[in-house]
Amino acid sequence: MADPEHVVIDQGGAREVAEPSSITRVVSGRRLDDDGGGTEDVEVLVARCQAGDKEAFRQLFRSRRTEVARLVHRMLGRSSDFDDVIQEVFLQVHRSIREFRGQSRFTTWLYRVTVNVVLMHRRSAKSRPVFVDSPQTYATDERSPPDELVARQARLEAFARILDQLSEKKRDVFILHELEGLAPAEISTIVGAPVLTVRTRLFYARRELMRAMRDEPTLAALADELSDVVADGKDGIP
Amino acid sequence: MSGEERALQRITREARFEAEPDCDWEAIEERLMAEVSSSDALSSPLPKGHLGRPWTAIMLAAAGFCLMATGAWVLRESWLMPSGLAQAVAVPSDAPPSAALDSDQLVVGTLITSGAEPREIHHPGRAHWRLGPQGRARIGALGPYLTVVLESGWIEAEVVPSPRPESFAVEVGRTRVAVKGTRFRVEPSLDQVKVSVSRGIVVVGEAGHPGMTQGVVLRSPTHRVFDRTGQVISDDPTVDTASTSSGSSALPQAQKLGAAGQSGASSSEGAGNSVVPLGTTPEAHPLHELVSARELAALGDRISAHLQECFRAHTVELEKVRVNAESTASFEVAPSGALARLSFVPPFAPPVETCVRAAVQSEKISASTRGGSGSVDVWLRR
Repeated sequence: MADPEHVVIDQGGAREVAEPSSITRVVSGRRLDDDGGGTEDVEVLVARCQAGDKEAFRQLFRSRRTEVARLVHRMLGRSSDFDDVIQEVFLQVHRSIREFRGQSRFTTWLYRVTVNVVLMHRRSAKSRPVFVDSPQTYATDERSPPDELVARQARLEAFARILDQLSEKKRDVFILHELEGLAPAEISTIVGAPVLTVRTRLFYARRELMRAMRDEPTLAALADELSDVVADGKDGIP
Repeated sequence: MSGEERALQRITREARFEAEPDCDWEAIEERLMAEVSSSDALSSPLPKGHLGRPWTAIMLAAAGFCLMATGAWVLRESWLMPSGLAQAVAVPSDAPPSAALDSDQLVVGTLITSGAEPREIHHPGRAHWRLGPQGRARIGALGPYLTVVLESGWIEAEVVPSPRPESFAVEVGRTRVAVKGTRFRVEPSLDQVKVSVSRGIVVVGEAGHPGMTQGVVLRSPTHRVFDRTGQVISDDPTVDTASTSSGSSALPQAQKLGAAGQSGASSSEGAGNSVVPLGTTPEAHPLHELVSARELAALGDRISAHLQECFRAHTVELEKVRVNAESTASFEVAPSGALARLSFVPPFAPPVETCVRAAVQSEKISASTRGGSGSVDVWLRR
C-alpha cells in the first residue's frame, strides 16, 4: 500500500503542507490546488504562453486537453462537433490568455472559457445536446443474472436523457458540481452567477432529475431497488 | 434518504467515471497549432518604417492567393482519387506471419489481406486481432467504435477491457459482433456467421449501429451460428470453444473481468453460457451457483457507506477547505457469503482503511457455490 502523500492545500492564497497521517490521498484532478502537474509549472507555462511561446502553448494543450474533452463531452454529449469544439476552446485560450491575471486558479479560468465556447456552440448550432434515444438493446430477464456492464450503460443513457430535459442553466450547474466536482463558489465564477443562484439551480436540478427518473424504466427500477434496500435493511444477508 | 435520492447518487457516481470519447489528439493538435501560427502571422505587426500599408495589403493578398491555390490543388487531388478507394496493404509473400501490422498504417477503407499464414494486426491499448489464412478484411471505422469488416476468412480477436461500449467490432455482411473486453472468434461461411466467445461478452446483431448494437448477448464460454443479418440460427455442437483449430494459435490471455455474474469463466465451466436473444426466454440459472448482481451491488453500497463514515472520521476537517477523494473498491465474496477480500485502488490512508475493514468485517450476503466479486467506484468528500 502506498504511503500517504503530503497534500498542498490552497486556503485562499496561503499554502499549507498537511501532515500525511491526517489527510487522505486526494487524486484525479480534484485537488484544490491541482492545476495539472504542479501550480508552479502552470504559472510558468501560462507566463510563457502570454509571451507568445508556441511550444509552451502546445504543452498547455497536451496537459489540459483531457479535462477539457471531459467537460465538453459532459455538456454536449455525443456530438459530431466534439473535436471542433475542443479545438475552439484552445483557440480561445490562445486568444485570451493574456487576459488571465492569476486572480483565480488557471483551471477555473480554463473551465470558464470551455463553458463559454460550448454555450456559443450550442447557440450557433441552435442545437441541444444530442443524447440518442436508443431503445433497449439487450433482452433482460429477471431469471438470468443481469449483465452489469450492459445495465450500467443503459442507466447512463437514461440518465443522459433526463439530464437533457433540464434547462441549460440547471444542467450546466449540475454537471459542474456533481460530475466535475467543483464547489459552488468556483461554479459561480465560471458561469457568472451569484453563489446563491448556483445553489438554487443545483437544488432544482436535483429535484427535477429525481422526478424525471420515474419516466425512465431503468432508473425507476434502480430507485425502487434502492428503496427496498433501505426498507429491508438487510437485503441479501441471511 | 429516498430511493430516488440514492438512485441519483448512484447514477451520478457512475456518470462521473464514464470515459470521454476517443479523440484524434494528434490531428486536433496539428490543426490547432496551424491556426495559432496563422493567427499569429496575421496579427503580428510589421517592422516600423520597413513596409507601409500598400505592401501589407499586397502581402496579405499574396498569402490569401497561395492558400487558395493550395486548397484548389488539394481539392483537385481529392477529386482525382475516387471516394472509397481502398488502400490495399499488400502482404509480401515472404513476410513473417509473426510480424504484426501496426494500426498506425491503417485508415478507414484499408484492405488487409493474408497469405498462407494468418495476419496479425495490433491496435495498441485497444485490441489485437488475427486474420485467418487467405482472408480479406477492411477497416470499417476508427475512433471510439473500431470496426473491421470481414469479407472472407476468419478473425480471432483479443480485446482490452474498456468502459466504452463496443470498443471493437467485426462486421460480416449485416451482422455485427461488438465486444466489451473479450476474446472471440468470427467465422463466416456461405450465408452464416459462426461466433465463438471464449472469454467475456459480445453482442451480435445487425450492422450499422455502432455503440448501440441490438441483438443477442453471448457470454463466455459459448458459441452460436447466425445468419448474415445477425439472427440466431442454432448452436453448433461441432464447435469446441476450448480448443483452437490448426493455424490459430492462442492469443495472449487478456485480463479477466472481475464482476461476478459476468466473469470470464474457464471453458470447463458451462454455467457461463447465457445467450439472451430478444423476445425469448433465457435459460434459468440455479441461484445457488451464482451471487446475484443485486446483492453484490447492495454490498458495494454498504462498503461505500462505511468508507464515507471512516473517511469523515479519519480525515482532518479544515476550515474553508474541501477534500475530495475517489477510488475503486474491489471486493471478493467467498462461497459462504462472507467478504473475503477488499482492496482500494488507489489506496486510502492507513487509518481510513483500517476503519473500513473493521466496519465491513460482519458484512455477509447469500451463500453460493462460486462466490463472487465486484467493484464500486467511490467518491468521497470532506
